Amino acid sequence: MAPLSSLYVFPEWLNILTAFLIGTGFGFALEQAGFSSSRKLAGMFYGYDATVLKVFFTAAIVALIGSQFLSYFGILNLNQVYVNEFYVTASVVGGIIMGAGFIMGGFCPGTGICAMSIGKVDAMVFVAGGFAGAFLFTETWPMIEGLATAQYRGPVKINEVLGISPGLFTLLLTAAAAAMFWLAEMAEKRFARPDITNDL
Amino acid sequence: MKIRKDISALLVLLSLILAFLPLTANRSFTVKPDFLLTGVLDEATSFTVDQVADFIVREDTGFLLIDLRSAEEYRKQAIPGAVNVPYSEFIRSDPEKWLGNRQIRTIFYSAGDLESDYALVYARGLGYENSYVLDGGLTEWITTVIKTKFTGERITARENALFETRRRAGELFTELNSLPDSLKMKYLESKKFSARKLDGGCE
Amino acid sequence: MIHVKQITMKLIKQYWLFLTIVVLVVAMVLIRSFSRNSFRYDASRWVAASADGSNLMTPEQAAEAGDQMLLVSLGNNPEPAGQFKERTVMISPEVILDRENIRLIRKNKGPVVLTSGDASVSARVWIVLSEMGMKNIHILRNEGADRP
Repeated sequence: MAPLSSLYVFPEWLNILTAFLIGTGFGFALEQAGFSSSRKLAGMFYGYDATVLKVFFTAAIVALIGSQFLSYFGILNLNQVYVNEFYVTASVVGGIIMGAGFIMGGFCPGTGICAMSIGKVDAMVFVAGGFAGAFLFTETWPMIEGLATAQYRGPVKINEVLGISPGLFTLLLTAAAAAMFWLAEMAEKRFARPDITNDL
Repeated sequence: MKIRKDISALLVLLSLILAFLPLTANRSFTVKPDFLLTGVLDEATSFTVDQVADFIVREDTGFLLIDLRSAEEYRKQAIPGAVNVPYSEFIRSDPEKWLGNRQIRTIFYSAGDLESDYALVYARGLGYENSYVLDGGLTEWITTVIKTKFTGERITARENALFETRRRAGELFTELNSLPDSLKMKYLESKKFSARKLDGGCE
Repeated sequence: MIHVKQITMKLIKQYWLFLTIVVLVVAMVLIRSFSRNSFRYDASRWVAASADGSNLMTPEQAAEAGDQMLLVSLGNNPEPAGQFKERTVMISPEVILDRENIRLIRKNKGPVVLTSGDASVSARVWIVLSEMGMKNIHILRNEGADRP
């Protein structure tokens, strides 16, 4: 895993240690951004708090730009980076379910674990619900298999579908992100709720 | 909170630089030119047909033969145990799926020498040190191994061993290549590589 | 004049980190793209000519290129044919990556044709030179040679 693995072969313990450190960093970043607060997370949908959009989108853009540069300098082999398989129906249905769950519960899976680790009971129940849902999925797999594997498109990349170079796609996405941040800040002012502040 | 505007501007600027780069999914050579050149000009990069015949007869599993010719030529005639990767496909895709096991010696061959030489340098340039060529290609194989004849009155033990190896390899070659098409296809298909799918997860 | 300079200095002091990052990235990109002594980005692109044989050149085609053609004899060769004698240079393959030799090859306006007594040598050197970004390199193909 990790960049440099195309230049050197890392021992397994180092891979696992790296994974641990990255996980620690991720949890730290989520917590300091305030994502243990379900009010902050649900604020994304009500409009008064756009932190989720900014944090996750910035993380995605940094990863995108960073991996493109690393690939250009020969440090990262992008052919070995996993690209999600795209099942159209499953993505749509799953997205609806997850969106509903997000706004009802006020957590998503990663931030749920984050909040659980600081002791929030509602987060613990949320994560337990998540496990139950996953268990239910596997147990009912024979019945929903048709739905889950319908409309398979393979591991597609957006820039391939649009027929543009990866670099140009990066630029467009970054510009779109900047525009969305600006819109989000306008929405924050418009939908602000006086009893819920930006602090936890 | 002006810092967020600075960071956004920095990211936009970096992505602007990226927009002008000719990014592709293809890999680039990782070694230095003089190192690569010295390596490929070395004689230790080729195996003779006798050495390869020996590997085949002894069923040595530490090596892999890659046939760089087109699919039709491969179907007509091929060295037993070779896998077909047409040269144009070899340079177009990521060779990791064929050369990924770095413990195994990969030996390239084509009809003559040209394409196997190209492939050797290409593979070594991408960092696959364990790549070699079959000296003379299939032409040399047919001349030396298949059409081998012994002339003279007496034979030394070493020559005898060589002759036996050639004969046995020639038998295997003729056996494989004279199979009826359906059986042959089955054997050849079983030798194809299927690209290893990447594992991955999500959040 | 001094006003402009003061503003510039202020901007630099304020944005020094930003500017450092951008300049650093641009420098690394330029080095990676145009460095003369290492291999170029995208290995597949530079060897594409070897797949369809368009990097091979017969002696007749070489003669057609006239005075611009440079024949590089990579050792192990009998004396080159009379027609190319003025445009031939003998370079041993081990030193072909020396700075003067590379400059000679890059500077040449017409095609550069490699030849050698051992065909493998020219093939291997071709790949190395092409991957360094040189586009007009060819291999001299002898008459009646086997289809490669």
